[in-house]
Amino acid sequence: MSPQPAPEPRYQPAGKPLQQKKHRRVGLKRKLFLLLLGCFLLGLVIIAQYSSMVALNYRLSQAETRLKELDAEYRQLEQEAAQLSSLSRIELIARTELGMREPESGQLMVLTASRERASSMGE
Amino acid sequence: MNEASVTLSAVRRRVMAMFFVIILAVLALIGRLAWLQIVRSDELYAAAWEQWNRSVPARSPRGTIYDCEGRMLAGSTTVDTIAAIPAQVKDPNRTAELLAPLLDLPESELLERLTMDRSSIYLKRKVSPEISRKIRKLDLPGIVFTPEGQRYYPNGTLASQLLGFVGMDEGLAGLERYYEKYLQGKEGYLLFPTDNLGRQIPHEVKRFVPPKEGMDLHLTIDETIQYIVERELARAMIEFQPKQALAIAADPHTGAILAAASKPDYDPLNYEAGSDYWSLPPVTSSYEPGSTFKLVTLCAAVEEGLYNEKEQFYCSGSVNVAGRKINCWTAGRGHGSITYLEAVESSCNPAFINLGERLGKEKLFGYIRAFGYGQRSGIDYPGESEGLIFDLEQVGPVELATSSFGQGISATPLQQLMAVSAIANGGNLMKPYLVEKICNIDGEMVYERKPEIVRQVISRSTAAKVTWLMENVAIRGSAMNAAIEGYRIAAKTGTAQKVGPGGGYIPGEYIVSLIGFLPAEDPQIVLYVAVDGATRGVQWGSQIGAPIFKRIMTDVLNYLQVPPSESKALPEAKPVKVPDLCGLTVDEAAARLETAGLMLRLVGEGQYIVNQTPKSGASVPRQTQIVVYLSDSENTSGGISLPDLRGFTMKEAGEVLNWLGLYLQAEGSGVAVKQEPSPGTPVEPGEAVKVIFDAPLER
Repeated sequence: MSPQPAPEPRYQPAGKPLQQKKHRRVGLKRKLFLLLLGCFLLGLVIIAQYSSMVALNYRLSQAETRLKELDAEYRQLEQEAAQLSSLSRIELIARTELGMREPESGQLMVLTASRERASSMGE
Repeated sequence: MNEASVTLSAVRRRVMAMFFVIILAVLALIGRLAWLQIVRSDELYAAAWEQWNRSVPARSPRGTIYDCEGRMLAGSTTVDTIAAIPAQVKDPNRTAELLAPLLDLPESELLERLTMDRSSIYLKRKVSPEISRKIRKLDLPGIVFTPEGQRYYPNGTLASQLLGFVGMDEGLAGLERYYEKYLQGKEGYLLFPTDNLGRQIPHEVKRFVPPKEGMDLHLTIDETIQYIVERELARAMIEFQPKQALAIAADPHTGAILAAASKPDYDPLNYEAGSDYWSLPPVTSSYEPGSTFKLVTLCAAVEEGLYNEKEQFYCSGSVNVAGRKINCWTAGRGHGSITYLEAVESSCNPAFINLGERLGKEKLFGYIRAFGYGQRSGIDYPGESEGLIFDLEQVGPVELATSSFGQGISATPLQQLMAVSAIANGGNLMKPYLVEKICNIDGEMVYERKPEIVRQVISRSTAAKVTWLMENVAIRGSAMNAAIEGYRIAAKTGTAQKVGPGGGYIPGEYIVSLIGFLPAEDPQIVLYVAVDGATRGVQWGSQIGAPIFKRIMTDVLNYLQVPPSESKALPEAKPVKVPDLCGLTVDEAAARLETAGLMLRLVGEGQYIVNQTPKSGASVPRQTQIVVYLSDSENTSGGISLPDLRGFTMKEAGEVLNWLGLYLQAEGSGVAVKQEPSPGTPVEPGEAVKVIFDAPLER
């Protein structure tokens, strides 16, 4: 007769006294609470930072748009200034608004002098 | 067996099962990830790119073009391009109806675009700020605005042929085209992911594509000189009503071009309408130079010691060369016995043919080439013409003779300008240029042009001698009408017959010109003017080219504050007696006035001169205009046909009308641009004629 096989070992969770278990559970709960609180506070800080960055980014975006508008305006003004100072416009104003006209022949006199005389006059 | 207890092998099996499930799930996820990231990567990235990202275009306008004093000639601004996102357009019919009149597009075409199966489509590019404002006010869904650079030219048509123009995205003509790679900017972007509201997501990766700013061109052109030149060319267009009038000016010491223009021209903002005038004729056109070319023959003869101004020459009015009769411009009359100095002053053709024969073809054509004819100067402008001169083996006695006085060859105004600049600066042929420097957006110079001597063509003493001879042309010769009080001027006139498409000369069609520099003792500016196909006035360089040259130079010298020449070096300004011109033809009268220093002004239509003012025998200063009345009959009594007064000054118009017994009713100032009644209307003595005067330049 063959020998009887040894019975399989059974899984038996280690047993703890009830009092000790209760005490440990309270400590764990406290730690868990503190951890959750920490996470919550950290989350708040991250969200606040994120929100602040979104707001800043929004302001930056607005500033960029404004910069673009100002740049366009500057170019527009530069164009207007160049057009207003064009020589044909100045001549038109001189003729029409200021009544200026070209001198007729005889109204201009060229004064010439020898270089020696001019330099002696300068002295 | 205890129900609560589980065997170790069962636990293992369950763990293994769970492990395989997780492995499968992870593999499935990896597979899916690979499918999306590798296989469909490009497609999905493209589809999502516009949703994730927003771009802020960074400034990248086209470079600005300035004149030599830093005044803007061409700039860029930003305007809106109107686009549509068809999927977002709620009511395409209504949208098309509202936009059609604003965008000046057919409603059906707009509707077609608004309903296209595309993510977005342009409706109209680069609209005016006013149109853009109106469309924004409509607040139409699906209509978006994109900023784009727009070229503008604050001085309108000023220097339009020189500057060129820009199409939708690139320079298409002139300097805008030649310097495209420097002027063109490249749009830059700041790319960043955005949320559903289009706001930037913090901490996400940004990408900055820096813009490439267009560089600024600083030209050698002076806006004021350019304006003076164009104003006087516009006046010449009114006064002489030619096909074309052109001018080009340079600093003879450097080769820097100070002004270059021709009329008619075009508006660079409406360039399609002026396609016949896109090029710059002083650089791109060539034609027979006529007598201005005699300066090359003169330089060669002086340099080779073959010219003596005191030597006598007899001009019979024509010369026979290899069996062919070549006339002097005096139409058969001839200059008679003259010195070679007088031959230069009166621009005698046979005398220059004689000088050409003395030089021989090798030497003459050697100098012609050395002065830069028959080859491109290398100016920084597209489409330069090289002109045309004979190959040495083609030159026979006739070709040598005609080339000696500027016939049978063709040259550009620029080539003539640079040749005369060589005389003015002491003998050096300079390389002409239009752009002085190129700067980047920070104002740092990236390119600077230095004056470049191509070669020394003649000696300093030859240049001085030819300058002196040119001064004599302005004192006693054909360029007298170009003289400016207080300044020594060196000049030469030219009148060239026009060559038709068949190769022969066109009867009665001429290009009259004048080239010269001031002050002769220290040249500051050299100027060439030409008028092609004048239909009013006498087609001679002394009668058309000279007054234009004088008006331009007077204002330019004043602007440049060039002091007058020394008084002892100036010719004495003697008054001249007015000859009797009645009964003469216009050509006969012009020949009589050619060396008298008087100008002929024609009034009316006809073959003969029947009246003149001032009357013959009157003592008048040089350059006085002798106004003559033309008619086909001797009798001018009775009704008068109102002459064309356009181009006259107020004083001249008053004189002419007074002489005809009419009254001037003047409006404005400048030159006559309009009159009422119109020219040719029969009028009775005592009637008033309304004439409107204005600056000739178009606005």
